[in-house]
Amino acid sequence: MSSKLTAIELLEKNQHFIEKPSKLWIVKVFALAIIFSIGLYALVLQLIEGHIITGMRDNVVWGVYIVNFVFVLGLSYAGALLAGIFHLGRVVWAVPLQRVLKLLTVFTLIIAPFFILLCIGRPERLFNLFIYPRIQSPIIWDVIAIVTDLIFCVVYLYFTYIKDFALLRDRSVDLAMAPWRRKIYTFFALGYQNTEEQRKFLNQALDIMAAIIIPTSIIAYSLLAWLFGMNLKVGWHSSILGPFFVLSAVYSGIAALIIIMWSYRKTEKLENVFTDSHFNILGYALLILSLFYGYFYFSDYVTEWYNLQNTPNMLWEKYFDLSQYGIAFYSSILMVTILPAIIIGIPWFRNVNSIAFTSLLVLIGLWIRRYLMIVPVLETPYLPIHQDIRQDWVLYSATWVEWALTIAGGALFILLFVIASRIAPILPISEMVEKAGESRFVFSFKGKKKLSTEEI
Amino acid sequence: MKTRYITSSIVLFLIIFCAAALDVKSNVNAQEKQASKLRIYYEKLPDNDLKISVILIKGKGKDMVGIENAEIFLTALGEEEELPLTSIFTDVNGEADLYIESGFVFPKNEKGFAVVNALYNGNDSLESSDKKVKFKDLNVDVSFDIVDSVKHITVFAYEVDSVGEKTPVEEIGFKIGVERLHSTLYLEEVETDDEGIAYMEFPNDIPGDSLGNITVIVFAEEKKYGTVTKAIVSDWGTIVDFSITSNGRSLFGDEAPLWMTISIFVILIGAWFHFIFAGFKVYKMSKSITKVDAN
Amino acid sequence: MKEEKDQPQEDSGRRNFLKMSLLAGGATMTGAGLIAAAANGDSSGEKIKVLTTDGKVIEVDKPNGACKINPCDPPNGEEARHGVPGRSFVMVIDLAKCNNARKCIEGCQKGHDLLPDQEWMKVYLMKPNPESDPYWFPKNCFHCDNPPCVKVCPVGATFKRTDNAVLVDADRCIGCKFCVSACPYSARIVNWIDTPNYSGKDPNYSPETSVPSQHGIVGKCDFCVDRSREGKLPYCAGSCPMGVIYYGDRNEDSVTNGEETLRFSQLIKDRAAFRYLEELGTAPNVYYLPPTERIFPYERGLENISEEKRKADLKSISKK
Repeated sequence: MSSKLTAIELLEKNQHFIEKPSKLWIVKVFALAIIFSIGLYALVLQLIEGHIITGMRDNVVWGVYIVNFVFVLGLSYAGALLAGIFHLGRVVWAVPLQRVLKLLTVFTLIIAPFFILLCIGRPERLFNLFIYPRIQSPIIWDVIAIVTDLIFCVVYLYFTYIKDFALLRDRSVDLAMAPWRRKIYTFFALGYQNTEEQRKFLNQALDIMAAIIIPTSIIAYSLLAWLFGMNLKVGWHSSILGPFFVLSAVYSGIAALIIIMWSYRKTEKLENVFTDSHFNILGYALLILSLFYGYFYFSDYVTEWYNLQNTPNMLWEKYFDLSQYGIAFYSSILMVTILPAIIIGIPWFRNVNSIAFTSLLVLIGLWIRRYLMIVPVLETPYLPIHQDIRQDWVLYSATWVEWALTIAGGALFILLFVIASRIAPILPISEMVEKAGESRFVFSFKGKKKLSTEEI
Repeated sequence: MKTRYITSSIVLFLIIFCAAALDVKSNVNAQEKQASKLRIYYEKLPDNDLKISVILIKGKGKDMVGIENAEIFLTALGEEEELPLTSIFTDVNGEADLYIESGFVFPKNEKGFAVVNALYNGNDSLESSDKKVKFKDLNVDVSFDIVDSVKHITVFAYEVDSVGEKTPVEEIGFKIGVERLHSTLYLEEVETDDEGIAYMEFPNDIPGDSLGNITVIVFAEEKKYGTVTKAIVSDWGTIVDFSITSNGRSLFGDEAPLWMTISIFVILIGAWFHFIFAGFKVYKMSKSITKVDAN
Repeated sequence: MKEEKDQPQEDSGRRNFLKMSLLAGGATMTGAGLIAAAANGDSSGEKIKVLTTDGKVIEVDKPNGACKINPCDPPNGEEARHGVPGRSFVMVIDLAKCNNARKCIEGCQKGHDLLPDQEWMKVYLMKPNPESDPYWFPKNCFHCDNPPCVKVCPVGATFKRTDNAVLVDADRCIGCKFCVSACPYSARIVNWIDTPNYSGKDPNYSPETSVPSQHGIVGKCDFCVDRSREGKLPYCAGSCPMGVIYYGDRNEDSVTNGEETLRFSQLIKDRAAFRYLEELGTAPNVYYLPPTERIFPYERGLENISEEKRKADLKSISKK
């Protein structure tokens, strides 16, 4: 569908981002900014009074902040992974989703480190991480991975914008853009004139970046999984953790992608671009992943259940006991495995809105899963901490500070997307109109110097 | 008959009344002043210096507590004379010491014992108390021999009388041990025979310092002689390695294992090389416009 | 029974004497007399009275027999990462004697300026299997030879020394609390609350004394190496009325609880000592002597704690 229109026509269809912001947009930004500032207030309070105002204590030293960190970082790596795979695999139907996917990657990657910083007792000493690093520590691996990934993803995102910036620069007079926009687009387009040589260089660069983004994101998320895996606590000390995390990251990434697509479909009226069949395909992917996830989860439990060791058993009893974590546990299984299978598996239920709704449930369920993976495990050490009479030392309950900062993180995420839609089109217009496979191959094929475009 | 009964009962009554009154009076007196207790100990230190230690306490059992800043008068009592030594003040625990240089001659009583008396005069709330300690000077010679490649420690205990003659002392229990960082590790308890000699076989596996030096402690506690300690440095200990200064390359050490450092560098260099390569391509792209323009 | 209770009290005076005489003995060990030793200038600041041979009474500085390992000043910074040479500190806890007096906890808190909430030494009621009798289990940091906490510290704020002590450098710790979650023995705590004693860069601070600590970072038992430099036992070992905690040097093959000194290797063999959760591979340096032939039934330990704590303890072991 998109190839039937030229780039200019596509741009004209989506040119409202150039105009003055609508009232609705301003209200949205304002509301999000207020929510964010409540979080800022909570942050200042925490910096002054220390972590005692959170729910974290000696046993559960990692609470909602780390849950958010793992969750948000999962979205990021999934975005990078999917973007890289779609790009290298020359998946045509996925081209309109590329920009949203990359924005998801970068925005979550910006927000995630802040949640880690909230968990640090002495944030003013963070530079010690760079002065005295110990490379035996999983945290240093994670720092290296996140810094590397952040730089790679931001640069990759920027590279994908170059062609569109060039297009916007060339169309600035016709579309009556403000002069500051023209200046920005000219500068960031880096002089791209869509000549063949330039196209070749840029496509080579994009292919290389896509190629390194995939292993970087897989390794980086495995390193995050090993933050928990390289730990003697029951529930964490398991070899399934690496693959499990990568899988749940991809799962959450697809769910997030669906939700973002659905919101943009509504706000920017992009039914012809984020079409029903896109939702269909992604819905299938969601279904398959939910079944995979259920399989991983079940095999993790069944192998532990069969052995019935003391402390792991104590942990699993907490999950099944309705008075402890049972409600969260059962509802998360429902939201993550059962409901997607029903809603997406049965054609009668399947439509765009229901798929988006399922994705939202999946995200909530996965967040609860992350919480259940972190907090009850910390509450179940080898030693009998229940002999402590201070209840908040034994059981964790997040305070308003932590919830405020969580919601502020979510608000910031949405805010970034709202602002991004005003800078450049949400659709990768230049990529969409390019013929599939056109001058894209970097890797030569044995036997032939270069595959021609018709052979794809 | 009747009058006798009445008289005797009156007298009895008076006696009981007086006794009760006296009893009450003495109780009242006793409540006014608390009893204090003095303990005094004599020690002979390794260098033949002496030490007289005093504790002044009040109360019993759990309520026992030392009396602070009390003046204790020490006097050496001889057969006829009294030699005031000095007064010492107790510290916060109720303890006070007087060190006496070796060679100080104590006046002896008729049995040949030196007697030191500690006296506390009491104050408004505490009764006075005093305590004596009687002691004789015990000399201990310690010698180290190796007989048939078995290490022996020989302890010779004797008294020296005024003429300078040595009289061996028998049935003195000695504890022989080595000095350790926090305490003394006693290896064996031996008793002197009628020649005043005790033997101990010294084990071969007592750790020493980096040169194998140990300090052997010979300790005796007898009522007659007080506490006698001797300390001799010997090289009969095994050598302990003092040269280890680091944990080496390990997961928990300061430096990571070599393979870890190398792997991380290889991975990082690999990833960043490709990144810089891609950036280079974009740079070339931005520069290629000049070629077109030139054309 | 009453005598048993009285005994430690009565003996404490005597014990002090023995310790003190050894101290003075240590000073004169070199061969110099008291006055000469004092003249060496190594004084502790206190004065002692000496009666000279000619009958005069003089006051000299008390020779500082206290410093057994030079330097006596606990080091800071890079030097603190090197252990005391030739030492390998180790602790042995006799579970047969512990009756939950909790004096070890109080002693440690007093010695390290801790809040009543902060326990570097904890005492649990443990019931290893359904048939056994519960016993009281004092647990501090085990200063493992394969410490999970040191492995995961990103900045090296906690470090393992050659003298076995695992210490925390309060100046470097960023408070990420990874070590707290990594320790399988729950030995580490976090300084959640800011107290007036927590200060910034203090010239007197040393990781060996751990005082003054700082807000937002991690703290734990430090094996009281600064006390060992003076030949004193750690606060916990010195405070225990039952003599449960033995402390010493494996290289010297000697541990003491203040009253009796034993050969470490012999004690471990004779009493079949074990290490807690040995299977985890952490190689702890605190050994436990099994609670056989106990002096008291474990219920004694329930007497001097609050009702709430008693309930919590009994509930926790009733699950087994």
